[in-house]
Amino acid sequence: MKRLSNKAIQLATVLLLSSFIVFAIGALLPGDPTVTVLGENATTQQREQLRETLGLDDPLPLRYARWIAGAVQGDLGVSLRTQEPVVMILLERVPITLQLTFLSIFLAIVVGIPMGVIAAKWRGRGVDLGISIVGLSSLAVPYFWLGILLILLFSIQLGWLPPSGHVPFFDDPLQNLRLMILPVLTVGTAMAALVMRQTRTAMLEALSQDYVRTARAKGQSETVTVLRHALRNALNPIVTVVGLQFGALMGGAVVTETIFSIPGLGRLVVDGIFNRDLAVVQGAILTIVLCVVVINLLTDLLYAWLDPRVKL
Amino acid sequence: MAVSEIHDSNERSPSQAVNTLRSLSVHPMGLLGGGILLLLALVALLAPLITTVGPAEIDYTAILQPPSANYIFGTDEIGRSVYSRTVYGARIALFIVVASVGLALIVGTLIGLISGYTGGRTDTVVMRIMDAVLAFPTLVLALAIVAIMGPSLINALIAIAIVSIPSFARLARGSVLVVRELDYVKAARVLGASRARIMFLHIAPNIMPNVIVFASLTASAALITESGLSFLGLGVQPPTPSWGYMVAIGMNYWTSWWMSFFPGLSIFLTVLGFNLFGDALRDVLDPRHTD
Repeated sequence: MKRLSNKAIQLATVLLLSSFIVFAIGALLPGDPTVTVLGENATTQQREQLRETLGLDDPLPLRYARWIAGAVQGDLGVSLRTQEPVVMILLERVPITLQLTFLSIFLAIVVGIPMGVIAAKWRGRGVDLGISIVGLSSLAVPYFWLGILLILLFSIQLGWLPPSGHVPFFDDPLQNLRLMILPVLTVGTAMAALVMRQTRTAMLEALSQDYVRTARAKGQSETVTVLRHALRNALNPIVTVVGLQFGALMGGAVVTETIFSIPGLGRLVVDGIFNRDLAVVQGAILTIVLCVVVINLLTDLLYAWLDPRVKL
Repeated sequence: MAVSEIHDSNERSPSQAVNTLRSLSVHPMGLLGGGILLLLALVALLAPLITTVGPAEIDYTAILQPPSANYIFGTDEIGRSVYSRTVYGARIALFIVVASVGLALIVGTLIGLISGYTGGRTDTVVMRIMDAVLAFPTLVLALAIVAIMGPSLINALIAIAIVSIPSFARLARGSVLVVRELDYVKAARVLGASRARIMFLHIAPNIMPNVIVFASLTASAALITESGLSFLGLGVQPPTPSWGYMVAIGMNYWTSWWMSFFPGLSIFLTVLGFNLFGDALRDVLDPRHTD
């Protein structure tokens, strides 16, 4: 219980410090926000009035206090360009990025775990070498290059899949999923390789344990031994790898959403930076950090749940 | 990462360095990785000798030409040789990776060393700040830093260094916590050695193997971040040839696949080289990871 409360304090501190950084990013972005709102041709007076309304000339600590007080109440200001509340924009964008990242994690798990188990079971054989080579290569492919190669192959050459775009899931689920295939492959491939490597290492460790020898000795079938005894115990490090990589996935989403013209959170950050829309940039990055921190916490909880020996 | 190479003396004997090299030389994956990196260094060094046209030279008669005898990687949208640009891009890539990882290594290790050795409240505060920075996806934070400082080669380098610092600090701190409890450090303290002397002469050399292994693995992440920044138009600015930017421009010319294929392949091979070399180095220096 004490460790749990320590964990909560630590988490709150990290969130607070991160919020300083997020605020600083928005406040330090160069360029005049009034140009974003009023365009080039406004008078000095109009600009000054707007700066007054937006509170841009107030001291930074005051601006931070106002921003964070709003944020905890679900008010992140309005977009300087569209005047739309940032929270409304986020509500539209976040599910898209979460769909992309969770489908990628799903892909990584359904491909990575079986591959890792197979590689460990037949360690040192041809199949192990083959899987390891594919894994090492997948880890080294930059997201954006893989995305482009996939478009070149499946859209331009073969014409099987649309190259880019997005349709909301509830408008047309089938088209939505068709459009998600290439982006998910782009983001999920490296993750699958990581999961595979971690599974292989953890399985090799588990397969050399006494309980596996015992299971075999008592005549348990090999499938049951490998899957129920060894894999069950190898799951923990795999969960950790997936959880810790969530931040990297969000980073990958930034690039991937740009390639495939997906209107998600990553695209929102990039557009916000180019448009000098600081409320949007702050809101979007804060959301990303919040997602990463929450997923890390869930990973810890899941870890403890999977392994009762671990106490939080 | 565990500190497995803990020695009773604070000096690494020369034979150990020789041993490391010898073990690496029989490590096939390490050899392959080292070979790729060596080749890359040679390409960067000999760029003027192995290209016939400059990376910025424009040939209006050869726009968007597919690979041919004249232009083995083809030409781009304004008639520049994709081969020359890819070769010269190796210089930019290596420079950014080495400089940014070097900077992150020095600053991050110093922070970790001082924080870990000092302990107490300082340590808690410093590490919470590092945790806060780590909560940001590297590319997102690097993107924001470059947007604030303005897109340029040097600023991209600094941004990549900043986002890599917390990992080095964490690693160094973790190692320090183990090493500072060892007898030889306690002995140094009893003998009246100053804090600085203990940190830099007794502890630092002992945590370096871990730090160096980590640096070689961080190098590939640094290159991916750099090319990601350049890809989004916030890294190295044209006309300087950067692989990431070349891939991005190629996206506007789908039928000219060679424009993004070759620079992308170079990023892939370089990252592979750093990963293989780093893995091998870890295997050799840390027997517990050998598999």
